[in-house]
Amino acid sequence: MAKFFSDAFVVFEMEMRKIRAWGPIYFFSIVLVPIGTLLFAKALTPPGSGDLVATRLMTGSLVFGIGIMTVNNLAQLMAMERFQHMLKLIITSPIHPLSYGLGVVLFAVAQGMLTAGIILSFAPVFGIGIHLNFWLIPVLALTSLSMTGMGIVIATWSPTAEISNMLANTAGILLTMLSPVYYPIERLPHWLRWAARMSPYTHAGQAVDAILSGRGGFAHESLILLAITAVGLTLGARGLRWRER
Amino acid sequence: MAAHAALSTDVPAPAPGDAAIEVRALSKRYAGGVLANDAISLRVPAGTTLGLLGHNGAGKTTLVRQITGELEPTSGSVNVMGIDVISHPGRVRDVMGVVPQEAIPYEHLTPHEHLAFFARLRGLGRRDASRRADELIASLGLGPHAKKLSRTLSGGLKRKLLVGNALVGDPPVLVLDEPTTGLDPHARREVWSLLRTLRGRGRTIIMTTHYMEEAEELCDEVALISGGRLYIQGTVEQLRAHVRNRFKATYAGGDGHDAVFGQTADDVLAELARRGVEEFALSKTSLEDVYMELTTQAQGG
Repeated sequence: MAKFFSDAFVVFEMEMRKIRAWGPIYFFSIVLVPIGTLLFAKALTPPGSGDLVATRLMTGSLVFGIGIMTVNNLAQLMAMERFQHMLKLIITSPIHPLSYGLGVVLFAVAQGMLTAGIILSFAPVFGIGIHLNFWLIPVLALTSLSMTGMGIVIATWSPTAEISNMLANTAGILLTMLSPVYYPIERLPHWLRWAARMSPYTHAGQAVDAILSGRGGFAHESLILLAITAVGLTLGARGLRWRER
Repeated sequence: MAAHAALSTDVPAPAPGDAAIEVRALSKRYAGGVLANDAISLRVPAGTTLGLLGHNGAGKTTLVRQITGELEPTSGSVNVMGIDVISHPGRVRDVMGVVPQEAIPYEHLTPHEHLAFFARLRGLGRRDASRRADELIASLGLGPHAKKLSRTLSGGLKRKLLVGNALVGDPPVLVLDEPTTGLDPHARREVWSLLRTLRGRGRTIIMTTHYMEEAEELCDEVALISGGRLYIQGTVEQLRAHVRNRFKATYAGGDGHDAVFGQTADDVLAELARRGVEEFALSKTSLEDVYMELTTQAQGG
């Protein structure tokens, strides 16, 4: 059991070195889209809309940013390792597939948290008043974790790297657009609400907004995120097989 | 190279001459119906090196991937150091170092980091892993490149790094799928020297190669795979006994170098006399000559 976790940590450390190798481009890429979207949404918001709207926009950017780092980047990272055959070096080493899975999931969550930290630091720059408390950290981590299953499923079940990238982009960006992360679920048409409730982005948006706005009541959404995490990771784990048939 | 306590496995070492790798009636039929390996049986005694030869698409890599446990066979069995690979594919990785054919190193890591991380996956602590990486960097002549990101290395240096990666755990069995492809002659000889040292230390090696000189230099036995089947296995001398042309002479002819082949040295000398050649070099046919004749035979030529 100790080897299982120490191997996962080795994989995590290996992946973390990517941040060093990518350098400033990495930081540029992780803030560009969510901050750009935040600016765009803020520009479309009528003046005097109030703090709640501004907080919701910050929530949307956080969930979007975490989604990109978790779903897109995780799927692309795993697909690249799989299709460029770097993964073969791991497969032929004495490491359990789930240990590898845990290592890359930890990396994705670390990236998600880093992104969230950077985006949150922009709140005072944009004059957005947010409530910060301890629970924001586990909820953001859970937000990231709830999306990792999707990233793993995309990377492990896609037949080619191109399809994996296409699916990752679709899932990472379109799901954010179709899920009510920048606005409450009540603003969606009735027929779309049931689909939105299946998306981790929706519940992540509700939970994060509950904390940032200071209204509380995020436990229910967090439990749903936990359930989505369990289902996503179970499905993802099924794709992590070292032996081809 | 220093021995590392953490690298020792619970698997008892086979006695010299016992099989370290044993493949029995191994077949692989892919979902589309393609029969990539057909009832292959072979045996690699402990402490020896077997070279797998064959043209592209002959089924060598499929065989290798079944031996490493990456690919599930349709039927047959594979045993490595007494471990049944089919039922315990995870356990066999403890005793095996692999250079996969198409793999590339993690390009965001330096060679030193790469080797150290993989040494840790083999159970070494941070300090021992770093020391092991230093040893391999020195053995492989990667010193000047140790701190550069792997993505900046040439194809040959990346291949060398993969060879090092297979050696990090100092495993008793090495499975090398075209380990020196892309290496320049100097680098190839460095890898040969390392592999010779390992063989001298009792490691069992199975390797695929398209370089006949490499097989002749490193392998105790070679096996020729053709059309997914094992056509023949033996020492170069044993293989030579199965071909018609066992001797050859080369000489400077009108259009450059000409060669005369024959079953015996006398046959070759007689032919040379008939052609009026007085200056020539007589030798046994090389593995490449033997290979060319055997592959033609195997393909029904």
